[in-house]
Amino acid sequence: MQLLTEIILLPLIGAVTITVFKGLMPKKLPGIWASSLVGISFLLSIAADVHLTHLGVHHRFVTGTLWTWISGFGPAIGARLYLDPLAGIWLLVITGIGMLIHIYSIGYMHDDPGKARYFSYLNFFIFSMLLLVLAGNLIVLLIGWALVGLASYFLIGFWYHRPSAVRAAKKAFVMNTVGDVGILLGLALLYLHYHTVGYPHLFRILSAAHPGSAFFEWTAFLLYVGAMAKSAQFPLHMWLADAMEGPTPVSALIHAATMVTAGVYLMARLYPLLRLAPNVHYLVGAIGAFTAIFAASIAIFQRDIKRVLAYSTLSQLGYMFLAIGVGGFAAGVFHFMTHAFFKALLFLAAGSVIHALGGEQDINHMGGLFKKMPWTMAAFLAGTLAISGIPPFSGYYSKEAILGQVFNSGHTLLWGVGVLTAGMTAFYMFRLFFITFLGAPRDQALYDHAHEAPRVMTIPVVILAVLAVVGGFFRGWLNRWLAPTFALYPGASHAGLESGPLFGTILTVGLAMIAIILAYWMYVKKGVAPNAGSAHGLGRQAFEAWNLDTVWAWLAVIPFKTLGDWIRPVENGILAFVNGVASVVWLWAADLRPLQTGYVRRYALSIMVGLGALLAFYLIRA
Amino acid sequence: MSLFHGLLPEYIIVGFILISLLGNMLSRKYHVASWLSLIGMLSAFVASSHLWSFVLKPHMFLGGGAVIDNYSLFVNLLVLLAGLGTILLGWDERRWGTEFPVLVMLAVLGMMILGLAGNVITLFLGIEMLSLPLYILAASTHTASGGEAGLKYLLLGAFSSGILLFGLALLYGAMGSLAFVNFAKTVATPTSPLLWAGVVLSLVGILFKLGIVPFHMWVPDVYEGSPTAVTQFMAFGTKVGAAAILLRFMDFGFYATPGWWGPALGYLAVLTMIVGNLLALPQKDLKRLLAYSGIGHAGFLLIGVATHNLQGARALLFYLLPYGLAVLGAFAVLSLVAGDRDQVSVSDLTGLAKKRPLMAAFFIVVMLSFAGIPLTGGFVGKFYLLQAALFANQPGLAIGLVLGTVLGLGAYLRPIQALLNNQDSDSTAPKPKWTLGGAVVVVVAVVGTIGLGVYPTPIVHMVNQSANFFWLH
Repeated sequence: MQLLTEIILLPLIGAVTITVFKGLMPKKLPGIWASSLVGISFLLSIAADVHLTHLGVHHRFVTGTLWTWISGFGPAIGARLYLDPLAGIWLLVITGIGMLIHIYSIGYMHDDPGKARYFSYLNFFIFSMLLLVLAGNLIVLLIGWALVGLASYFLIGFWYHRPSAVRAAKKAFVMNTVGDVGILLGLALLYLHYHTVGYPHLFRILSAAHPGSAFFEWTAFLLYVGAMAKSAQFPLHMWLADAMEGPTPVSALIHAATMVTAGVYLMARLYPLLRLAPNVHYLVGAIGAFTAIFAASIAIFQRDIKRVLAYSTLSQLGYMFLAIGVGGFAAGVFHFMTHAFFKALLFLAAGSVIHALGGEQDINHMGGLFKKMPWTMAAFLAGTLAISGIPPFSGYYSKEAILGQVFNSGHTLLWGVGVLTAGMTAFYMFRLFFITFLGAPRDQALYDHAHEAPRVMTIPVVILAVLAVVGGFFRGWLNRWLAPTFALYPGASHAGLESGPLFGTILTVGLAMIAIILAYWMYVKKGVAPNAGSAHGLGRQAFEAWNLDTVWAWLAVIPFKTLGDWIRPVENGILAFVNGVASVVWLWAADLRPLQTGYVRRYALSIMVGLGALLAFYLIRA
Repeated sequence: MSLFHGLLPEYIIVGFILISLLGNMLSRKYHVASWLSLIGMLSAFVASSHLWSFVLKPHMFLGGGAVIDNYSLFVNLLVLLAGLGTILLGWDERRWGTEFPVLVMLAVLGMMILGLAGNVITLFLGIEMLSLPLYILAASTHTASGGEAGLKYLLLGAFSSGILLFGLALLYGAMGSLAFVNFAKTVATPTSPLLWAGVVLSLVGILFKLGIVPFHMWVPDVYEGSPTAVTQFMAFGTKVGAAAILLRFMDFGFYATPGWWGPALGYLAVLTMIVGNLLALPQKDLKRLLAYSGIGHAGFLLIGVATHNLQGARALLFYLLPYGLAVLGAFAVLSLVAGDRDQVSVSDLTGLAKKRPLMAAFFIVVMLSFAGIPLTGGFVGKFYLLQAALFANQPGLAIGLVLGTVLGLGAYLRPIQALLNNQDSDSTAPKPKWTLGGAVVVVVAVVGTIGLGVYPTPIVHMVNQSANFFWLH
């Protein structure tokens, strides 16, 4: 089946072999082994995508059933894989960026005693993510979906001796479970209604349906809840910032480039369903826009280098959902791709900084690092320019594509939010850049020990920097590549990339420029302290992420806890009842326990009683 | 296909029984008979698999007395698995004597005969052939409890055999025929009291072997007193044989009148599921716990007969395998933990997860399969049974199954809790030792259990081919 099986299996082989043989492997082997397997997987992915281009425009997909998984109850469900141009993009990003991050990790995790475990988790994640993306029906997708959540849980809690890491892992897992339940329910609704979960069949049926019924709205909404949790959309977003407890390459791979975009993938994949649920479709865009500006407002006041990046990831995910919400599917996918480049880059560069400073993540202790780490500084700058949407960096093209489509489709309010967010993005990202790399060192001791990262870490960073710079030029190619996918079924008539009005571009870029100058003026010229403004008032609220954790605690955690406390006596009652029954039974059983031949009579009597009862039963019925 | 070809697995077993006896006479080496029986049962296993594709259409021999079809072959495979497990688990038990493997093979032969029985003579032959060696095996440890287990089993077994034989005689009187094929033709309208009495009495005899409440009382005592390997054999092999003959006897012999005999079995199934699993809850002795769980599982199996439809037959046949694998795994761990002793209580497992993590993990897998947790074979099996009950429009059975499962879960979680408990662990107690035979059995059981849970389709396919005996009519 056109290499799909091999692509998926290689990382799984890596995870299994490393887990089983880690005791026997030399210290450096797990990293190299894991990276090369993902590398081979990447090469095979390219081959698979090249194969796609040879297919006719209307049959541009590869599909096949590995085996019939379950038959006998209802329609048979197969372990089915499916590759089309949409999945192809994800495939390349997952394996390509995954490989770079594997290589980077060899350097980053060099001194960690648990690095074999780390690489087995990382390979396991790649396997799960590939399963999610290459799934040929919603059941296989759900399995992949749950497995990436599990891998993310393992990796966030990788340093399990840190209580905060364990707590963060738990939080991420619980919030993701909310989403998993949503998907499961949505899937169940679709299955009950149509008796099928395979994409082509399902989409063909959906294409014939008429939009607007409550069934479609509910199904789409439940599936969107799943996407919301995985992609950290408001209000299920808090786990992502805490997930930064994991090692930095993990944040780059899972919590920036790939896993958190699974929601975008799901929504883009289900575009025939979104057509039937216009309200949910609009909701996707509105929540996306809100998440974008909301997360940007938090990012401005953060002091932890990784948290700034985490909130910026949230904000950029908001952009992607905004694109999906206005029907600009290709723009969303485009932004996913460029975002994967520059955000992975930013995280890896930040990781180099953290590595150089011996684990320090607070920007209050940074500054002036450009002299010590020129390569990292240049790469970080490229990423910052890209995310800020400065032409001709990649982020400019994808953000413009999104905003153009939002404007063209007449969502003026959402467009305004998007433009404003672009300005805020430029401000907080350059704030981070200036504080970290320019100005005077804030912590001389740390500064003196800082050093450029080893080659194995800088090379992936530089490759990503090149991609972040030139990624926008894939625009036309990407548009042609995705066109057949979104033309297969109705519901994506405006999926292709469009350009917006000229004044919009000028406004966005102008705002970003002003924001950069403002940041320069504040943090380099004036030397404003990094933590300025976050002491009280709105700044404090923003710094504390608008206290959404407290709100959630009030809304969900405390009520459930109260309910639990209230139910505990009931539960104890049930337990006491069951124990009572058990002890009565126990007494009776204990009574019968002595092994005396005399009791055989009683056993025989029981048989006779049963016989009599059966005879009586038949006599009465006759 | 000739009769000789069709009965090849049985002939192989008979041959190896004789060779093993000779080997015991000629050689003083202890393991000769064990090796011979291992080879014999493996060849019978291969022969049964080899015959599989030849009998997609059932073949009848001896005037309907022996039916060779995929059903009988499936039963062969299952009971041979049980027999192989018994030999491996009992490999080093010198005190049981050199006759141990021979007796196991004899009992296996009886179970195989039950699988192919097509008339009441072969039925009775199979039941007795299965029981007589087991009476001896149950008493093969020369301890008080072992002797009592054997004696009890013998007395009650003889009692129930008497009832069964009486019932079969009445049936012959009512029908004028011995073969199941002719039963269905005769019983268009079941009005004769002779017939009722005959059916009820023979049912009681078979249900006794299966361990259905209220004919179950012997089960815990006999299981507790017998050596662990033999208990495993009874829990797996005997259940397979009894369930196979019950299904063939009722669903095939009386297939035209299911409304007449079905409901009673349904009530018994619900009663058994609930009582068996409930009584499993307070047990402290692990073998007794598994005995009651076996009773509960017999209730689950009875659902497949009580639904009297094709789905039920398939579900029952399928469920035998995950149940049997879980029995194999559980008793293998039990015998490893017990070492030289015959008694294992729940508290003996304390701290096993720390001492032998792999052993504990395997034990947890088979316990979860008993409980019917997803990704184990037990879940898939229960799912099919539930589906069969619902397809047959018998929600009572479905509710009973769910209730029984919930109660059972409580029982199975207790050993798991014990083995994960590190606080009360006696660190001076010796670690359980792995033996080669035990390890092989456990690994096969666990791989099979998870395999069935993840990818049941091949076995489902086999089961669908096996449950085709309905078409004989």
